[in-house]
Amino acid sequence: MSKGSRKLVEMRGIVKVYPDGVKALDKVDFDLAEGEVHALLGENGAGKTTLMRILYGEIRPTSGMIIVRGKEARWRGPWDAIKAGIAMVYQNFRLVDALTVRENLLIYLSSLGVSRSEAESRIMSVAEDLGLSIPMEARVEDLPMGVRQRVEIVKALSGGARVLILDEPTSNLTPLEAEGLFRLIEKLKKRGVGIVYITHKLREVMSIADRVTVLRKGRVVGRSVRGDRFFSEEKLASLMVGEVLAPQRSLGEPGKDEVLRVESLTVESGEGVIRVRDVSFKVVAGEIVGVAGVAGNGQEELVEAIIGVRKPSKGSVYVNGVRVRSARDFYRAGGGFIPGDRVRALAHELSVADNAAFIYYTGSRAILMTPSRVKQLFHRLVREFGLKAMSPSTPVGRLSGGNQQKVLVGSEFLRGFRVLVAVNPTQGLDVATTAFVRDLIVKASREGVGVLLVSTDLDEVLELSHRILVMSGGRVVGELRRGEASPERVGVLMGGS
Amino acid sequence: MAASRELLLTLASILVGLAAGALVLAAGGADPLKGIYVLLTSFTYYPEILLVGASITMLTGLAFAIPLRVGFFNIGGEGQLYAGAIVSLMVSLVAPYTPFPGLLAGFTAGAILGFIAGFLRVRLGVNEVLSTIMLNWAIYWTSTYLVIDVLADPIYPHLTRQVPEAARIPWIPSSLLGPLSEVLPGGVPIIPFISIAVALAAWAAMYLTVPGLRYRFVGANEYAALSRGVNVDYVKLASMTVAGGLSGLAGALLILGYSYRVDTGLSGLAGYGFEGIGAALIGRNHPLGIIAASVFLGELAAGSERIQVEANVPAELAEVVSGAIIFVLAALSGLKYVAPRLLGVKSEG
Repeated sequence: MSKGSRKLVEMRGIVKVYPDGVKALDKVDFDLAEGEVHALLGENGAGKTTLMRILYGEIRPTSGMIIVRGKEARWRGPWDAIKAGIAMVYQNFRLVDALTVRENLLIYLSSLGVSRSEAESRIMSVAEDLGLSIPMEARVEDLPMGVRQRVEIVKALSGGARVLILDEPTSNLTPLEAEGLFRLIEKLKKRGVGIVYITHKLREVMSIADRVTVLRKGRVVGRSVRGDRFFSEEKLASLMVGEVLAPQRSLGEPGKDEVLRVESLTVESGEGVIRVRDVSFKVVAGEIVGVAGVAGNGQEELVEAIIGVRKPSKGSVYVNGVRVRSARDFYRAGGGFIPGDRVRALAHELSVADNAAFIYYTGSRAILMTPSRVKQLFHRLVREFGLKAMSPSTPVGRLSGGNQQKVLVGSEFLRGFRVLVAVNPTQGLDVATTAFVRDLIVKASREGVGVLLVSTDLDEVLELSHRILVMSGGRVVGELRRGEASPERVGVLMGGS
Repeated sequence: MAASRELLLTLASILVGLAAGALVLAAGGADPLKGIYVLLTSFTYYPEILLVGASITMLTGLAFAIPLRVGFFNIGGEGQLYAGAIVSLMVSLVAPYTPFPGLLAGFTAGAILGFIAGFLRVRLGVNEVLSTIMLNWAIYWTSTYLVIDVLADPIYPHLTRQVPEAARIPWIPSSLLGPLSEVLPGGVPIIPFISIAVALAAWAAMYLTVPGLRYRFVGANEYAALSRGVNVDYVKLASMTVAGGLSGLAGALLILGYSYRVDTGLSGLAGYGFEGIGAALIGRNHPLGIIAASVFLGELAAGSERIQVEANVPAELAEVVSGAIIFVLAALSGLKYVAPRLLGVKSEG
């Protein structure tokens, strides 16, 4: 059965209000038919993932209904959704790294009540039907991301999924692996599987989607079917962003003084795998150096070594001429840090004020922390950084991702630094705040701060950097100056040569 | 966190715990209402039991709560308290001039024990529950040896010699108490005020200082603390050391400020270290909560003295009640983790 028009699922009037009052979704309708790819397009924080987590039973909607094959469904949790044939594949795969593929699949299926022999035969038939070779005995941690994703998809299908939700499926893949994924999606369509494709990448929508729903700030701002007049990159982009993007930003002139030097740095993971290989570069005052690359190519370990959290096995790092041997050295020498992972950087059950103060006092020798000064810090975050939080004592975990990022970024900027290491600094921010944070970074560089900008968002790196280093497989595989850098050239280098 | 909700939860657990105690009373054929009334109102009969019990439990409660925030279970409060008591007694005999050397020595003795357990955990990965329990026994027998062999009173061989007058912590005499002197004919010990001051200082250190903020971050998100230049191992070691010191100080206060001597079975010391765990749990690991919880437990101790006479039930009933409260508290705080999932409250990923 190809292109059936039978509806697999339908969501009507979905509203989700978080406890802190943030409206994540506002009366959203969505549906999916057999054998189609329905793209859910929007920027970070637009509500795409929230909507699909509601469909998958992970979050309860505040109001609205879900209809599966004509009947209203009420999920108590994902297990109900899985039993109804809905499965979700996350960006960060939900596999046990230390176990083999077989063990992972069997655990999943046995939790659905499938017997072992039945499970084995289902896995085999799914893999055979799709022409996939799955290394059943390999440990997940030894597999490339593309293969892990195939395992996730086989897992979902052998669990009986007819609706497959793919959350930013290409974000961890090399271009070649992404091609493989697209071919697999074509096969799934022919077999009648409905696919929700969550993405913010227009190119992928153009190449794979049959229909597209565009979300912005929790509302549906447009729908389009392949072939109609809205189905173009330009139209969809303007729907998604909602305002015209600023033209190429003008940057300041870099100075002369070297503020950050990385010398033949080699970093190993805990298991002795080399993650960063012999990387050297320097950043001068007023310069923004971008580091581009697909996530997982050594950027995280490079950053940890620079800020002094991870001991490099070879090489050294200097901030303002001071050798960094510990994180305290880094901050006391004038280093600033905006981490890429909010979950790991904030203490979620502690208050907004505590988190802000903790960042603000990084490396400080101060002893006393008076409540009035902390309150003042909070009010500056609200006033100067547009933080929205009910009170200083709200636990930071109750804030939306964007507001959490404002706490992180704002407190660090209020603290001040001469060298800034920023990792995905605008992740999860809306368009206006993204522009605001980028302005801050550029302004800081104009005032003489040297910036190392590590981002998986290529547009961000291109927009902000004087120079771009491209990382692949733990090495710097290329260096491009502003002007000679284009998405295509960086993309080619990122894929590895 | 929503402090009012925490308080409500605690009060609810106390009510449920008391109800459970009442059930036990009723099952034993006693009048449950009268029993509970006696348990809660005996401080007028035995004010010293309440005041002394509360001040000691307050410190051992802090000694359990402080390391717990950074993920350590300090079960060694008992041994640390013995060490503080015996060492302060010995110092007072050697330097019988003021209580200060004894207090300092008691704190140091406990701190050394806390440091040992902390060091073993941080550097060698030795589970601190095991090491502190083992240290408890090592200290118990060492103390028993010292009590019998070195410190024994020539006249009462089952007791140690007494802390010399000059080295004792003074009491407020009843003549200064005005109308209260009838209730407290023996005067008021000063040690509760010392303990409250220490607990308030612990609160201030945690919430009004930058190092205290870093300490709370180590407990809440170790990686965040690490990536912000906090020496996590140092913080953990320091929290175990301070905790041990506070238990040691508790022992010193007990000896220098109230009992002045120890018996061969250490019965005047036994149990305060473990009671502190209860105080920390009821007080939700918060210094101010622990002050209140210690007073409550002190009252239960006073009540259990009187309930035998008044309601004709064994004193152990008071422990059933405090046990029930802790049990209910643990169950209710478990709900805190389960309830949000049931309600579907989750932040966006």
